[in-house]
Amino acid sequence: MPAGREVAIVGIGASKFDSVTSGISYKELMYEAAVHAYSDAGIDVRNDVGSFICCAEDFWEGNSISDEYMPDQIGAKLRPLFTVCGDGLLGLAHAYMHVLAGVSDLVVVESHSKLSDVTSKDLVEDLGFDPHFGRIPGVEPKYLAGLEMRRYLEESGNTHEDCASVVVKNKRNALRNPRAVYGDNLSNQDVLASEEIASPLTKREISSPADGSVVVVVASAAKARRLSGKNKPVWVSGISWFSDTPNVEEMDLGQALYASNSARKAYEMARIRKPLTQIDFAEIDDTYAYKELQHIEALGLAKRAGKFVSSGKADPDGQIPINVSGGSLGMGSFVEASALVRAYESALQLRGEAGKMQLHNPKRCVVQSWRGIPTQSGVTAVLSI
Amino acid sequence: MEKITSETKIGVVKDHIPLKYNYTAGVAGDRFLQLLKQGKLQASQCTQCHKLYLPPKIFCKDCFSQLNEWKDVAEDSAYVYSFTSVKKEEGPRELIALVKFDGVEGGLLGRLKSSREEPRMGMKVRPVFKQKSERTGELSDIEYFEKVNY
Repeated sequence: MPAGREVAIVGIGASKFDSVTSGISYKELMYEAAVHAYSDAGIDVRNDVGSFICCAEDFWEGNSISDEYMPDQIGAKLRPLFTVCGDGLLGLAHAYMHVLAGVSDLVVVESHSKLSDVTSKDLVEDLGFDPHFGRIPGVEPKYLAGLEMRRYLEESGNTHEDCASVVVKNKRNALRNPRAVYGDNLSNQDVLASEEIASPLTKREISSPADGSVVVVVASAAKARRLSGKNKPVWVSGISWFSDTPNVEEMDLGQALYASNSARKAYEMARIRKPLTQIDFAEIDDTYAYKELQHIEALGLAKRAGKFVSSGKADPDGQIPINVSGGSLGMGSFVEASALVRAYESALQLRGEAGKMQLHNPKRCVVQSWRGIPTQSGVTAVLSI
Repeated sequence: MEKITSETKIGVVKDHIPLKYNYTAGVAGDRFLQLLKQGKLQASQCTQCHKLYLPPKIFCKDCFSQLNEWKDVAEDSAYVYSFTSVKKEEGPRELIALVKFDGVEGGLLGRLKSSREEPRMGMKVRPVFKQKSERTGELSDIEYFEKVNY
């Protein structure tokens, strides 16, 4: 078995993505995505799939034991299913392990967001902080993004203007993505002049909430060959995850060690020694604009990410296109599902089905996630065709 | 069936989650907060790898030893590791800082006393405690950090 060609994504599906999905429940979003994914993979879900993995967190769902509500709408009634309390790429990591461990040769991963139902988003974010030392009464939780951004810019030498370039690029990219709802033509000045939420972080540097569901079907190499549907398998060539501290006082803030460590391991699995020449594009976390820069550096795609982005090297026609889909700044933040949205858009690119966004014959990409404040946790995966 | 023509009539159940918790501070946290109430800052020390932890813990996250030693934190070694001015729904903006201490792992979050002078990264500060009678054994017993010129 060639390295990095043991587990493949054989089907992908998405619901509609929107800032508000009025009148549609999260279960109906999940059903829509699942129907598309199973049709894409050419499988009969009620007979073929041996394991299901959802990625969701109770507080975002507004329901304790939210995992119990997952099975029916993705075809998992009376089937093995569990929910990962983490982002969608962590679900993909579990699917990868299930295939290799022989749990099943066909595994389904789902993640969704119905953020438009969550009327206390800030409160949910605040409840993630340590109750004794991290929650500051009366101060909104994005204070941490402000602290991290300032420290990161100080240590890296990147500028606020560089962060604005990330927003301009991703929102411009989103204009060519039919699934992206936050596309825009902005100038750096528009970004820098928007309201300061937690200095230096401004409003336009923060991704806005979106609703949607993504389902990914994962298979063993043998199963992928047998399916031999219309799609080429997208190989999960490497995948790794790391957790640093959730205690704000102990955070480094300057570096994203969860990203650099998981990238090192994922690259090793995928036999990537020089990411700059071996990676064709990247879909990475940009929940806040500065995070894209921090992640570009952690993934070894550029030493000075600010210059890399502001000089156009991360543009769709640049050296390594980054977030051609528009990223979270252009498509919205789907909390736990953001990572699976990145994986979905990457799979479309690798299969040559990205429409107006299509890059020229890409073979390999890196997909990376961050779990959001106040975490220092994330996953890196290498996908290849 | 009659079509719904108003957004507000679409089936939405409004609810809120009225949850209450008591968060146990733990052996290290309780000791730290009791001392904080007295206006003192102590860190726990790892005798194996000599790291000092603030807020204190009873375990070392590097070598996994159990920590039983305590050491005063030198308040005059405090400096601003990062800061941000946060917008609030009501009232003036709040200046929040992550304050670190020389040779100590971790640090403390707190408010930064605003002054006409713009805060700087690395700026030396000191903790200013609330009046003794107003302290409650919480992190907010440090009313704010203020700039000092050593």
